[in-house]
Amino acid sequence: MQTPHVFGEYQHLFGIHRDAVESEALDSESSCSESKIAVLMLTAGMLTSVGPSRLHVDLADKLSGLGLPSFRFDLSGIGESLAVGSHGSSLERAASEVRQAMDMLEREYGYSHFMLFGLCSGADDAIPSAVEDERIIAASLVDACGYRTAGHWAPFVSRKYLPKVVRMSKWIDLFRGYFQSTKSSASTMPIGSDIREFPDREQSEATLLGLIGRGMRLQFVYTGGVIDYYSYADQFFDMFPRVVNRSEIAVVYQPRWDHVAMLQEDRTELLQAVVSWFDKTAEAFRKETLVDRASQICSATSN
Amino acid sequence: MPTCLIDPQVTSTRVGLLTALLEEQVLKSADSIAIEFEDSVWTYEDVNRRANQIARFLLDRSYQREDRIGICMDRSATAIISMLGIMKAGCAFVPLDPEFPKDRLAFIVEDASIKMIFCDPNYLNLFDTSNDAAPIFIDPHDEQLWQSEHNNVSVEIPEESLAYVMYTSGSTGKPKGVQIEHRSLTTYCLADVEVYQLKPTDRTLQFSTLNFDIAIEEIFPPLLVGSAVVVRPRERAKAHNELSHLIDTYRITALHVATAYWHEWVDLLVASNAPVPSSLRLLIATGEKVSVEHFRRWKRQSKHKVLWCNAYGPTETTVTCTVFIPSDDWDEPQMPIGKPLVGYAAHILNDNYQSVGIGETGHLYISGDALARGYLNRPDLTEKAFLDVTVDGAPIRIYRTGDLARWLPCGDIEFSGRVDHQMKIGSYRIEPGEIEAVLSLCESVSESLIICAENAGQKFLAAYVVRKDESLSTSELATFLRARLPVYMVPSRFIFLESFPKTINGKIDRKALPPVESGEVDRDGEFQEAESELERELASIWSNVLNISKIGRFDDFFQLGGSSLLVTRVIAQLTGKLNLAIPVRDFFANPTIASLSQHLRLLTQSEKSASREDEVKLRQANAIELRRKLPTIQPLTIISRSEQLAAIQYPSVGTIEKRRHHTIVMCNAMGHEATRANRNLQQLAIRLSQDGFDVVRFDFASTGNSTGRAKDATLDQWRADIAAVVHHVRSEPTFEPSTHKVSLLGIRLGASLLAQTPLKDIDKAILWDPILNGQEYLNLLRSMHRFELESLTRYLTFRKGQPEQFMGSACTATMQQEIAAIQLRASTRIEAASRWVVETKRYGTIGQPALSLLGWQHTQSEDEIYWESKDFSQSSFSSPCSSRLISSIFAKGVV
Repeated sequence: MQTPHVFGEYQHLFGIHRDAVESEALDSESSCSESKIAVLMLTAGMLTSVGPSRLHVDLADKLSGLGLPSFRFDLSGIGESLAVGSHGSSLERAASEVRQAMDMLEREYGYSHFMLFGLCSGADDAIPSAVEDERIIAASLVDACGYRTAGHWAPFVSRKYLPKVVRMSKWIDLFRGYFQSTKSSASTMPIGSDIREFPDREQSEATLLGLIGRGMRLQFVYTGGVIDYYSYADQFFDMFPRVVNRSEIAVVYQPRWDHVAMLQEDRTELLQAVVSWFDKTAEAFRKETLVDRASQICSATSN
Repeated sequence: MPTCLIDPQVTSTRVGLLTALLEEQVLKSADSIAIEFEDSVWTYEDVNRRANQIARFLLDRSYQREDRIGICMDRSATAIISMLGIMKAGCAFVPLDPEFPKDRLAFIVEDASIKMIFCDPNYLNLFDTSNDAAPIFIDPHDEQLWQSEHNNVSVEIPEESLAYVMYTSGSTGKPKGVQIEHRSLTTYCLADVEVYQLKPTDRTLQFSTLNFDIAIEEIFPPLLVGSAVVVRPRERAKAHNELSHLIDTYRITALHVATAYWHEWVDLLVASNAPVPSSLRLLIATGEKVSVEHFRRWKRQSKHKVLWCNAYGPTETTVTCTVFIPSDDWDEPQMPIGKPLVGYAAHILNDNYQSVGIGETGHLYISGDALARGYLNRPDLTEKAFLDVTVDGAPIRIYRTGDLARWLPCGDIEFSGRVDHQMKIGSYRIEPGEIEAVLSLCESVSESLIICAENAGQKFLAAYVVRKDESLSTSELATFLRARLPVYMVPSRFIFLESFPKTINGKIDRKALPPVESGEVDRDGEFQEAESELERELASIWSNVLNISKIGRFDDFFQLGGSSLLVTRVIAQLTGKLNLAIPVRDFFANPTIASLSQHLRLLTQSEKSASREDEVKLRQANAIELRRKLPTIQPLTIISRSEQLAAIQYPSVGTIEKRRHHTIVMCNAMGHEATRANRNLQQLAIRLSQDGFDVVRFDFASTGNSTGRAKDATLDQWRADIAAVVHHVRSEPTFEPSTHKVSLLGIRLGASLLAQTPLKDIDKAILWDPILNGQEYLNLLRSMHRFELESLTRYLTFRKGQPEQFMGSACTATMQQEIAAIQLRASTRIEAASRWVVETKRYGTIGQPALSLLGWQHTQSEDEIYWESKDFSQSSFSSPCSSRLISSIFAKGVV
């Protein structure tokens, strides 16, 4: 079942809560741990809470089937959420609105911990949100920040330009574009791009170390859609050498997918990768909290 | 000195009636095609017989010579036959453009004392039929019309009797009816045949709407030589270059086009490196000054010989009175308007009606038998424009064109400008005085002046206004004008003055007027001046980017016509001028000067400063104030069959008195088009709620936030969804059936589905860029999807992808079959008191024209959406003009 909510400081934010499918095993596990976890999906670029090609709705369905509730919402000025001039910079505002969403969910449903899902700017927003609020225990980030490394250039050129060079149609397009000055864009059309906000590499690495230092788990998924700054599987650890071999971080690289997984088959694969990671992460967190609770009980008993 | 190239006395012989000449032609070309329209042809025999039946129908009902009969139809064979039949009966036809506001049509009907109107039933709602004095309306498809005898009628019609009345913009606040007599019409038609060397093998495209004199040129001269008139089909080609496609498809040999349109066509030919269609042998550009550069480009694209003509002529000279036909080696900086046609004479005179010398500028006058009788019911205007004078010793009746001109040594005339301020925007002749006169009817207006301005090559109207009441807003003025004038006559900028600067003669000193850039656009709500230095700086940047001088603190950037593209320009200027860099989405979250300036101030102040705390407080206060103006959004879950539809309600904002008790249900598009349309519908919903409407937006089952799997979606379910939402609205406790209205707006597929849903008692139904032909729509989706997979733009490798999906959305084979079956023209089922189609600029290039949706009123928006563009698949578009038009239709029933 899904329930829409209007919330926020000015009753200007809109989101949809999706219940988990009830399961006795899950319920008993959750109640034992006393930790109720929900997945929070952040706004991707300028798209609504539905996500690109309904990705967030499909993700909510899959998570629900695994016993994980979720909430997807629109940042102010996007989708159904109203622009009332909220606080701070773009990232600060996003962190503030994520906090407002978590407060509402804690109040309405009793969730104590959250896992974030963010694609594109949603991934950018997830990091400062997690830094600000320890209720966030994990995040799966698709096409998050990236930095070109020495190893980036060779695969970048071969993957981005080689397929075009060998296709005759691209040469024809090139010549056509050179000799014809057709109007290619409309005067009132948007360019459809958003400005990404990457901190510098050192700052990002320090932030990551801080987050995993407090036990947060992170999944980074990179697609072929960001070939301009991410072009090979191990680039993540070349970008952030201080997090190599840290079990809290998982990296998936799939150059076949585009930035928003437009094709259904790509979306199915992406969802599979993300959902199984959320499932494992939630399970691990519950076990850890059970162990913590057991040790607390033991120490209380021994005292 | 070539004062008069053709002796007007030569043409003052009896030329006969056009209808009689046509009957002679019927004897020669009985079985030849006279009219071709869509899949049907009418031979000369057919046309004559049907025209005779209409004539008898009128004569049987005792209509008499010069009785005015209206024609309110789209271009069609029946419309042409009606014109001929009316003239054969000795009556005069009056074209009535269904695109005109009701008030304007009512004025014409009354002014012309129209007794009967041949009216397409779909346009009946444009007229007040309840009035006892209302004319009789005849459905041209009514069988009784075609029951009469079809042999030629025998009616004595003097050449001096009236053939038709054509209304043009009038400087007195009302359009004026130009009366054309049979002699003028025949004189003109014979001259046209001669100058353009018309042949029986010609096929002339009938392209113009019937209330322009260009339609007379397209229809009657070709019929006098036994050639074919090919009426432009209602279904528009989806070809990139529609005009070339039409010419090729229908083997058109002769084409008359407005100069502005011809310029665009030449650009298109050059851009696509396409030659001038091979069948074309005659092209006539008319209406505005020809660009010599375009003529050169035209010659480069012409691979065969085409008789190219630059025609000039006001409606008062029937149609064309001078023509310039450049020689093969002609290449001058200015294109002349040529020499008079046979039967016409041109005179360039000084203020004392004396001929000026070669090269000297004077007033251009036209004489000859093709001059109009004058203006209907306006002897004062007739007396001013049609003069009996002595020129070079000879008495003569001349028409004062209001144009300045000079003779060239070769005997051609060169246009030098206007004496008055009459203007042409596109192919529309506009008398600024008419708009000024309508403005003077507004009680709060003291004085006004309309000018034609230009920005980046685009001409537009601007109004200088002195107000009696300072509270009069641009929005109120624009609304006032839209109710009384055609859309193309409503200024897009308003400049308010305390008084007009005057010359020492007491006339308005135009040179001393402030620039139009200082004007305001049609704005909702009150204007509040920028307060701080930063706000003024921001307003200046917005002003520069939007080309609007006056920006208020609470003006919404997007409502003023801003787009994401323009947002990036604002951000670039912010970076350059103020050294401030913000992300695009910050702009979306702060779309007003007030909110953006506060946002920027907070960013630039240190975290702990006292002033920052003050700013936060101020910001909160402003946010509360801004929030108060926005609707309290209410999420709804509506059950449709077994699915839960996610819906949002926007209750009307403001006081109870402001509530209209009118709910608007919005139906979104499908797939990636829904993503693109979403922001626009949301912004429109807010605007309408601020205007007193309640609005409900929803996602179809299996789309958006509604439940259901994409593979289970069907159009039948979606039509049921629309009905379920309307049912929900009507079931609400606050809904009072006797006073509460329900209207619908749909975009793209949502528009088509709402039109197909059998709902009753709907107040207004608006279709925004509807899909008329499902197969065309599927082809568009396939082509875009294929491009995404194969262009190596989105993907690094060539992708195939599983079938049954388009642009990120599943679309099963069953769904595709259902979509392919959409033929909206034959399947509209909604019953609404008022039905409208809003069409954006390039909509016609991707499918059938909305005009072909009979029974729906039609209006065109200046917005460009580019549904066919691959570049904007996931982006939202900006649609300020469409929003204004739609709001106006819902609020007032007119645009």
